[in-house]
Amino acid sequence: MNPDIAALRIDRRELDADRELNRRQRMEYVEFKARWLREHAVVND
Amino acid sequence: MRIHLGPGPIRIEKEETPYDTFTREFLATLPPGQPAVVVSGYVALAFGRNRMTEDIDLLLERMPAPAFHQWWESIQDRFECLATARWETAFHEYLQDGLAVRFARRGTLEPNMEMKWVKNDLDRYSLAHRVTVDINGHPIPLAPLELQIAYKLDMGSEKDVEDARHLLIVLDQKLNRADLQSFLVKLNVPAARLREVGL
Repeated sequence: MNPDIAALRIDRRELDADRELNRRQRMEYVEFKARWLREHAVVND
Repeated sequence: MRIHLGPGPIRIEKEETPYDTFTREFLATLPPGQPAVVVSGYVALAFGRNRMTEDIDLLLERMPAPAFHQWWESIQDRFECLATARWETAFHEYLQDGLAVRFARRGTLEPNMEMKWVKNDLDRYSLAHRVTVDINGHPIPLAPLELQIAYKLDMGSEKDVEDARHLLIVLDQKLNRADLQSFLVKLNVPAARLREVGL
């Protein structure tokens, strides 16, 4: 195995926690986007 | 579209997409010598995968606060942070806390650049082994292709597996199969998922 790859420390719990953080940030963005569109693009007609 | 796999650096000639333009323009704002690498979905898009995305993911070596502040001020006429109007908040409450911040062209929402500091070994490997791909004459630093494919397969959503499949087919001759296999083992990607993409 390539020694640079062999030396990688992959902590599964850390990786999963980071992905969960990304998922939560993504949900926040979905809400932000919906509010942004309501303010900038929704026309009540 | 033409993809020149080498020998030598990969070179892509293509009709520029809005994602290509945005990525190129945003990267051009970074301070000279600032280590940065584009990861995730845009890697597949750069190589011609045709799908929509809201964001492009960018990993950066940590910047000291004064450098970040200076960079922040330098982009204000063109880009804005979607999370906050204050650089201190973006720096201390997001980036330094391991969170991403998004930047879009001023007055727009998408595409946007989701930017964060490197924080683990995989991030640091992506940055240290980034592949500079020439897209229409512009150098774009992309995540190592073998790691990108393995990471996408590990993520495992339909979109991620399709991105990986796209890269596997397009880059077939260029990939280092031993490195790809090593990443798949390190990430412990399930055999069933590998079979899905013919590995």
